[in-house]
Amino acid sequence: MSAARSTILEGIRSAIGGAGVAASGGRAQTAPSRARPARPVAAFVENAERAGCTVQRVEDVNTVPEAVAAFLARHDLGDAVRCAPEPFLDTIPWSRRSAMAIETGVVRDGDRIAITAAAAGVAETGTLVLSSGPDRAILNAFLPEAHIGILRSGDVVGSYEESWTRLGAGADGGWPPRTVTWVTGPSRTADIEQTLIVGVHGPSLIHVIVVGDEEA
Amino acid sequence: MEPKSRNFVADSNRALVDPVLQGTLAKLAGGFPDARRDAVSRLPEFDALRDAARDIKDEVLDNLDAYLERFEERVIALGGHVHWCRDAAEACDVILGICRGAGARTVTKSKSMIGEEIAINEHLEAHGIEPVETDLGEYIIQLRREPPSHIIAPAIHLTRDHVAETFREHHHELAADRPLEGGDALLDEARSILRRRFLAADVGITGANMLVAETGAAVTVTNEGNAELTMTLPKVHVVVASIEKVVPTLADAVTILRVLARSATGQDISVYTTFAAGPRRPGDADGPEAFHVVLLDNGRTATLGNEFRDILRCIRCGACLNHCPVYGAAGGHAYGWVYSGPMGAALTPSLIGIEHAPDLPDASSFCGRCEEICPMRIPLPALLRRWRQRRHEARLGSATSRWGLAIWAFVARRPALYRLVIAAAAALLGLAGGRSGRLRRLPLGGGWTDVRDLPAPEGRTFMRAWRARNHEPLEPAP
Repeated sequence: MSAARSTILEGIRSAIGGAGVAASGGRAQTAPSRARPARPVAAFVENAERAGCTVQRVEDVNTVPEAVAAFLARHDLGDAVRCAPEPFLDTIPWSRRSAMAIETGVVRDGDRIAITAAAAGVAETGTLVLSSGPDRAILNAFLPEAHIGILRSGDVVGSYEESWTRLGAGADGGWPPRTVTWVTGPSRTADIEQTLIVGVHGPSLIHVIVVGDEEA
Repeated sequence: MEPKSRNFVADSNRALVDPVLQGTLAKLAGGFPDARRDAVSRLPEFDALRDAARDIKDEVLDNLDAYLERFEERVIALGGHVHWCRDAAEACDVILGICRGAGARTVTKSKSMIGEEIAINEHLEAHGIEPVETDLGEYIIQLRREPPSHIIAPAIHLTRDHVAETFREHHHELAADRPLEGGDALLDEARSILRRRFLAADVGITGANMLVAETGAAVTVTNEGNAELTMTLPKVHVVVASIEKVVPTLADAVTILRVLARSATGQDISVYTTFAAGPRRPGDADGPEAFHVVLLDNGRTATLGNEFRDILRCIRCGACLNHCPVYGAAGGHAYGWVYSGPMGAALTPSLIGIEHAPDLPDASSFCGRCEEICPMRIPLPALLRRWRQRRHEARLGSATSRWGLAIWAFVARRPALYRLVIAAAAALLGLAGGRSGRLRRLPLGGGWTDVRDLPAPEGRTFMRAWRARNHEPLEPAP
């Protein structure tokens, strides 16, 4: 299809009167004020709840198993949990809640609950930032009925732009990740008579556990 | 699908008297527009972001070749493939080739307007490959073999009963007497059926809301999560996008995302926004083995060089449909092809030719709401006015309207004659109005008087009344 390529590029150049130039730097842009909150964690929590997530703050990883167990019990979700193979999630002392069956790996069809670690949380809209990688399965946030996102309070940023930096923008190797997904609330549709229903293809429940003492 | 845009007048007249369609359209008026207003009120910088978004896209269009080459270079560096296609036929063949290469039997699809434009589903089906739409609304209309009636809510013209009837007709594997009342039951059924299709698909085809030149990523925006399952589960991911979808940087994509969902559904951001760049990398826990981007021209380079270029800034949010009195009355199908509403009326003639859509420039009352709310500040009424001019130049309008315009132009260029003619017409119509002051019939004015009376002029023109009141000739104010 190289003929098509040159026809299209020539067509563009004749339409714009010569060869275009791709700018080398980014343009100056200012993030809106809501992307620069004084208390990012509080703003994140407020916006994530508005988007339909439930959010819980815990002091440290030691209290995560209890928070997860409470969430499962509240929604009668059973006790089998698929946990993404991320090093941070390995530091959680799951044995404190031995009733839960934690299995590590990529989610499988039929799994009801999956846990992922978020690379960042964006305060401006209460968005979880997930990325792909050897220990990060994008599918964990899509296939199950309920998704639990674990977010370190220090990883909450104001704007989307800052979240790129958290993911290592500009660094050599591995940037950009193959897939970066922003999740803001549970899967939803209004395709039938414009009535909102949650839980279409993705999870109907999203529980965010914010770990750490920033703004506590 | 074959464009039926030339039937716009007849089809919109039929839509106006379709009570079911009118019922579904009535819900639109208070839904999306109110949600948009609320979202905008929570973002004081919204108008400044619209300016920034417009400037980004204008700069891209001024240098489109360079940004496409940069995007291509990035995709190849990540191990992906880029296919340039001049028209729908080339794009369909490329996609079919990729599917065959993967030995595909079924293909999942995440809603793509470009997919509709090139009619990829029909092409795959004709060659023995089954395409399955996974956006709920798009799935419903695929089963019904209908085109989308709205860019972001393709099944907006249907009721719950329509959907239940469609599912009963097509989901043979389920008990015929199962209960299917309410949206939740319909959703559960679609979810479980489509889940199996997701897991079985060999190739996943998505559209792209944007292509990021800086990173080689295709950006998808959905509320359901279907795009991510479409691109992550099968072994091949194909992105199909038109050439004007490219933006320079991630920061630019962010600016556009800040206005996109707010304009579309009134959400601050859609539930899922995904940046997908290249195939699975060594050690990745999931992802496709191959990544293809099909870049489609299909008339865009021509538009880039003419007076309709501004429409290429469109990000397909659907806000102009939601705010248009004509769309709100006629619905999307009357426009006869893939795109509807003001952006459809402005874009369709560029893509299929004004001769195949001669009445679409009239699908506007020129009230200007579309331009007022467009996140990319596209001057839609001006574009439609230019299409009316093109149509006139191409001698495509009715003979009556062309003669009428010629006579009007002759008179309007001669102020003295114009005043005389208007004074005579006002006097005549005033007389004809009689004591009731209303006209029930008017030669050449049937379009108005068939459905309502025309209030008759008082008998003299504004200019005369003004002069009589001030006892002096009309002069410009100092």
